[in-house]
Amino acid sequence: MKLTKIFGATEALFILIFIISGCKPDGYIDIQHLWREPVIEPDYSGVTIPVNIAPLNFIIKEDGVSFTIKARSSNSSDLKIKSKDGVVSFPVKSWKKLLKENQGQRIEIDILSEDNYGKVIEYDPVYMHVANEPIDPYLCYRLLYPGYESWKEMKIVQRSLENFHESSLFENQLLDDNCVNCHTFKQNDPGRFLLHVRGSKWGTYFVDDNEITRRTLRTEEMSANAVYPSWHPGGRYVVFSSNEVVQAFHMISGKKNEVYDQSSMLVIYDCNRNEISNIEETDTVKYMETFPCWSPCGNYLYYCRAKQIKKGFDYRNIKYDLVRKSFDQNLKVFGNAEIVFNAIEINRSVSFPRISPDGKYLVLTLHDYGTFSIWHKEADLYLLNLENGEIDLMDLNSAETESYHSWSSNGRWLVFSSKRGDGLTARPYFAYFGSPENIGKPFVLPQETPEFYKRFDKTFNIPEFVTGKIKIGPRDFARSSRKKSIKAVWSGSEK
Amino acid sequence: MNSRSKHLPKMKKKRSIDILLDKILQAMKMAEKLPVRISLILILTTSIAYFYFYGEGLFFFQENKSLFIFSNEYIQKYLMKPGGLLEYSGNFLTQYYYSDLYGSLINIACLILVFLVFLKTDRRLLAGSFSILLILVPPFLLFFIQISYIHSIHNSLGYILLALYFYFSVVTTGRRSRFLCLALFPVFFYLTGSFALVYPLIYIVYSIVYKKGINRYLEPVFMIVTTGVTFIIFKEILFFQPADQLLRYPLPFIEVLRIPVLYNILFLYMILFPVFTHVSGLIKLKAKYTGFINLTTFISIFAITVIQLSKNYDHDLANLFKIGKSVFKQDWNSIIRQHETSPSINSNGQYYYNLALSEKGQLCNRLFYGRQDFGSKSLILPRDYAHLDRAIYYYYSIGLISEAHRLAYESMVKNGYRPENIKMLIKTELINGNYKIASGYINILKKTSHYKKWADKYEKFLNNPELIKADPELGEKIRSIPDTDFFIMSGDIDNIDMILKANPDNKKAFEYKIAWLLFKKDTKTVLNEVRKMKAMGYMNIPRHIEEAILLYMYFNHELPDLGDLIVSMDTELRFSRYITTYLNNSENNQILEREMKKIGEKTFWYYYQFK
Repeated sequence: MKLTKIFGATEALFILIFIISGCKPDGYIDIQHLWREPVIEPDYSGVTIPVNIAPLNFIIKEDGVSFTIKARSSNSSDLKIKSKDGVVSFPVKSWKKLLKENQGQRIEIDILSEDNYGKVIEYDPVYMHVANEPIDPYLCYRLLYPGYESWKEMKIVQRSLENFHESSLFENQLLDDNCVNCHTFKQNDPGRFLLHVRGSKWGTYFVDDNEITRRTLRTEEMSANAVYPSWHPGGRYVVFSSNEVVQAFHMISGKKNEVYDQSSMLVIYDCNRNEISNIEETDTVKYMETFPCWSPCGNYLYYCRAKQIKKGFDYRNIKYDLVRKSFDQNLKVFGNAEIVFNAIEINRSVSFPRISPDGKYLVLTLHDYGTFSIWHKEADLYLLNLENGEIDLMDLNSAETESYHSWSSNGRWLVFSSKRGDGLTARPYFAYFGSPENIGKPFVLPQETPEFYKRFDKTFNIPEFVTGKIKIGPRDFARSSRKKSIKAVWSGSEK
Repeated sequence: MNSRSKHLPKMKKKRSIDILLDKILQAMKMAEKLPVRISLILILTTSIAYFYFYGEGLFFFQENKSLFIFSNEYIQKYLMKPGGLLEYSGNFLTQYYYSDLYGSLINIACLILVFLVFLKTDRRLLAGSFSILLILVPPFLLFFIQISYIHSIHNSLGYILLALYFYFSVVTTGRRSRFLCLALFPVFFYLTGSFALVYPLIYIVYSIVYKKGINRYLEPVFMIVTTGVTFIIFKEILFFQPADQLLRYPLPFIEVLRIPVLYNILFLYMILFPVFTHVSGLIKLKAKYTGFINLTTFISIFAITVIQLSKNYDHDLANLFKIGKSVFKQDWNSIIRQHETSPSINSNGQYYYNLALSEKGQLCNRLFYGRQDFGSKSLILPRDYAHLDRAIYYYYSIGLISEAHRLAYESMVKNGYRPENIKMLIKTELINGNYKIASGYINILKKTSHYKKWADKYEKFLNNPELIKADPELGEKIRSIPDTDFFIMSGDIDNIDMILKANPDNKKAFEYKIAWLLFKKDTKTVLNEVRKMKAMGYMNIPRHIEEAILLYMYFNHELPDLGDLIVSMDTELRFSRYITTYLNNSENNQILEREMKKIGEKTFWYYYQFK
């Protein structure tokens, strides 16, 4: 009788265990649920991602000797990965399938960690939202040390956003180790762009349909080099700011570099006629003008403007407003300057205006003073509604510098430089832009090895979207550098 | 007697000849072993004596030129260019150079390897015999290359691999194998970089001298074509390296396209080696002369080596390296002691002495106790590329932490990771409270073999400002950094003024300013500064400042305001003696200088008068 009871109880216990284990994921018995998400690096939790993005590999920063990761959704079969060290690398094919099947939906990533004693911890799932709109397939950026004056290795690379392939576009060791900067595309076009090379291979290298032309834009009439460019959407004109740049080094902790202009003006280059001229300012007040940006329709030129500094100036008082001028494309005539955003009024300064492809929004960097926001910790991105003039701090900012930014060709994605990782090196972050009220949580450019950013000591500079693969490479630039530079002709002032 | 028995005496005779021949051959082999042994002893004794007893600073300098990191990123950098792996291997070996014994052994091992490879090659070319002179020249040339401070061990490896590749080409028999050996040239080029480009020349000379028939021309042509095609493929397809980089890397270049002479001599020797062996094979010497020639060879090489070493040994450079080593260890007392007993005549050596005085708070007390030939130039070094690594310490010492950080960063960008620039970046980032960045640099050092412990120590400071403040070194620097911001300027004294304006209690900056004024012999301004000293916490006036005050008073006959501080009786007495000696000997300049030196060489007065 007793024995029967014992057997009956044991049987019941086994049945109970069987039922419970059957309910628990992966047959684990001793599971503790932590009512929080696991810490993962990079932070991809709650991000909105494009359907064509490379796998968002990450590291689980939780204790454990074994991890089980399951990416699941309502529309597809589960993608299950085991990891011993917490490094999660999704197989590219399965990842692509997962995203494709969940376009416009969200993916749930369940993570379990197991310790040496078989104790399993289950966390709240991590979600990723898959947007309907794809991102441009390539990102182009410059890699260099985020230092002061010196450089050694410097290169511009193109990185496929759909996988992890990165290839060089420009390697400075092939051009006498000279500095290269300001790669600028005509509306994300991989076949039409320019970049500046300084030093012995001096010139602005224009790329047009895989042909490179080396040009000297600076003429005797210009007091400084052509620096920050903006392509007119028509492709014929490029407006540059010509800046006399000064660099100084702070001696207090918390600040490193200060880069500011002693003077600057806007010039317009006619690619067809190889002519350059200044854009005349009709105002009686003398200004410094920089960071030009064409509106997508080509009828307005936006730029940043500050009063010309005088002897004994305080660099902390150099503040830029956002202004614009109308442009008659047929007559090549500019209208008068009008203030679009009066930053001086709120004791701040504007840099890098960038207009969305639909012409409705403008993203700018706002900081305390000056013009070189990348060294300003307080620099943040703001969204200006060009239709109603409203300006708002964007949710994507951090306590560190957010600075250089650009739009994808479909206007649904923003890429921007952020130093939120360590305060020194800038990394490209992407954010979905549905509307001013619908901006996705940003995510850092995914890397095959998720620990990459911990170890990589160079900075990602000027991230720019490109709609396809750039066909030329470093040797093409090296060959062009051996050709004679074509000197631009000064053609006076454009009103 | 059958035919067999008829042949027996003949066979016996033949066998005895064989035995005799064997004995002769054995004797010859024994005789051959002796010069080899003597050569090895010669190489060992010379190199051990030099490296172990004189090479101390040499290894220290070379170890500090690079930082070997056990990481994928580190090796990837070297995989991207032909010759990179050679430098990587060299850096791997150099990381342990903090031990002089280890450094000596590695360098000696390279010399012995070169000797053995040349011995083998020579034997092969001379069909069993060898010329001791021919095989002793390369290790001794390499020895002279290795004792230069610009040398890196990867270059020795380059020579060894070059000699080895040639040896394998010589021993490879069979046409197909030989062509296969030559066809491996691209791999050899990738491994050794510019060293490989010497190989075709060696092989062409070898073919012309030793080959016969069509191969004499065919193999050189094959070699030339292989080299050309490899070079083009490397330049145009595989690597983003410009032609001059492919031609020169990883050889040391002092200036653009200038390889140090000894490197070229060794290359030339290797190229002509087949000719030398061929010529030596043609010279038939009687056995009795061989021993004499070998003996003469040993004596000559040994004598030349000793003479050259004693002639070229740069005592001051060695002294500077020794001081540098103490700077890295922050052994300030040792630097002061060394400079005061065995003064450096190098401006960098004197700069380090002044730095050590500053770190010990003795700059204005002992400045003239050590030799000072460069005035203010040995007080603050220029911030150009040549002085970058050394100039950092001054800024760190006076509390211009941001400038020390900037220079350390510039050094890292220009020179790559070096133990000292990474250590300085860690310290300055910790002082400035940038823990995330500091953590990145600490992780770099944690992946090294020698600096891991140092990194572990500094890792404890991360996110712990209280611990940083409590640290004697970091805490002191935190207290001396400027409270208000300014931009660093090109004028050194302007920067000191700015930091004193921002942080008037910064004694180190103050004493640097005074030292600068003393070097400029500007006693009036020194006097003006004395008034501030009491408020800065000085209880006594440092010795050299007292000397400047008395000198000013002597010339200007006025009693200056010393801001509640007084000149010590001892200094007044010394000055009185100095003046008396001066007045007693002022008529004869030679005697005057001698006597003044005796009485006051270590004073500002003597510097003022005679420097």
